[in-house]
Amino acid sequence: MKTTVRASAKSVAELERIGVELAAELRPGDAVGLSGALGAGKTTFAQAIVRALHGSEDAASPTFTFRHTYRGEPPVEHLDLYRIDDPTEALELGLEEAFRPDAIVLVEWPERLPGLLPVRSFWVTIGGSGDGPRTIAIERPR
Amino acid sequence: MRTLLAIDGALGVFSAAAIGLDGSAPRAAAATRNDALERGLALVAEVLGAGGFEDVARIAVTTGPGGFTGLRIALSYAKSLAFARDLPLVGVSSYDVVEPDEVAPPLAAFVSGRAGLACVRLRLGNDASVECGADEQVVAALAGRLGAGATLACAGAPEGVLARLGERGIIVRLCSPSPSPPALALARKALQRTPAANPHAVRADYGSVAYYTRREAPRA
Repeated sequence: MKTTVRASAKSVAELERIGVELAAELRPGDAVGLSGALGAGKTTFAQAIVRALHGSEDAASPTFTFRHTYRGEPPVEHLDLYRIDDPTEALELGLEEAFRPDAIVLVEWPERLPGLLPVRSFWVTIGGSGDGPRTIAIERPR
Repeated sequence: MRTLLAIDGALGVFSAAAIGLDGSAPRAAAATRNDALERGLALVAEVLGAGGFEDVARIAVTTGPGGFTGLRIALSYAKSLAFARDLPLVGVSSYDVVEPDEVAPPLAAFVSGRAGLACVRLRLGNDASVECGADEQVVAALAGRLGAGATLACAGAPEGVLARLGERGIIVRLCSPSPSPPALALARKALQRTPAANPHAVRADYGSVAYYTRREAPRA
């Protein structure tokens, strides 16, 4: 049974805190879709998750690299499908290989290729942009 | 003696085989772990023996579907060797490699694709169709085409799929497994084939990506 919970954040710190809380629920093999407009805070949210899981994080948005692997226990794969125009591009890049039982996978712009994520994934949608507040909706698979 | 060199990375861990063009003196070697990049060419050297490439007249490679990285490594090796030695290259699909000779349709050849994808080619009458997806989806597609009570010869099918086919009333006839390692099965099949016009024409088949776009992401 899926449940959707909504929250709001009035600052970057609040957005990050929601990410930290979600991180505590994540287990190896989980995938998280992160949707939202440009500048909504998807990467900020993802980095908060990585910091919560690893104690630090070392990179910025993977928009241009498509995929970044954060080493640690468990490993975190950070994908960005923004520049994927065609499903065969994802195939050529081997992005499927990121979805391993031992890793946690965070995917920005999952709506580009929704079938790429496992059926039982977390789906996060961040509304708002710029200096305004954000709404965060989280759909949980369990 | 003119020899065919066969290289496979799609159907399991990397393997290489050599066989005379007349089908004689087959020999093969397989990796024991996923180290095609580190040791693949050493295996090729092993099957070729002291003569090396001197007698190699043709190269064969499995073009997929199969394990993503292994498939690409084997294809890269095969195309490079064919190009550098100016040798004809035969690409053989994974379905053809696992399918036994001379079994009449209905016949299904199963291949384990990348990322756990199940891939099957169904021969029905004179037609062949391919389905890739989760086990359940593939079984449903087969059952849809055959109808309950139909008999289906199966090559390479995993246990779970056979059970699901049985549940849907399909009578399964198991084909004997293809020779091991996969490169040896590939070598025998390749002897019956015409090489591609040039090595650059040999392409990988990764199975379907249609399911990437299939499901709608949930809207909060």
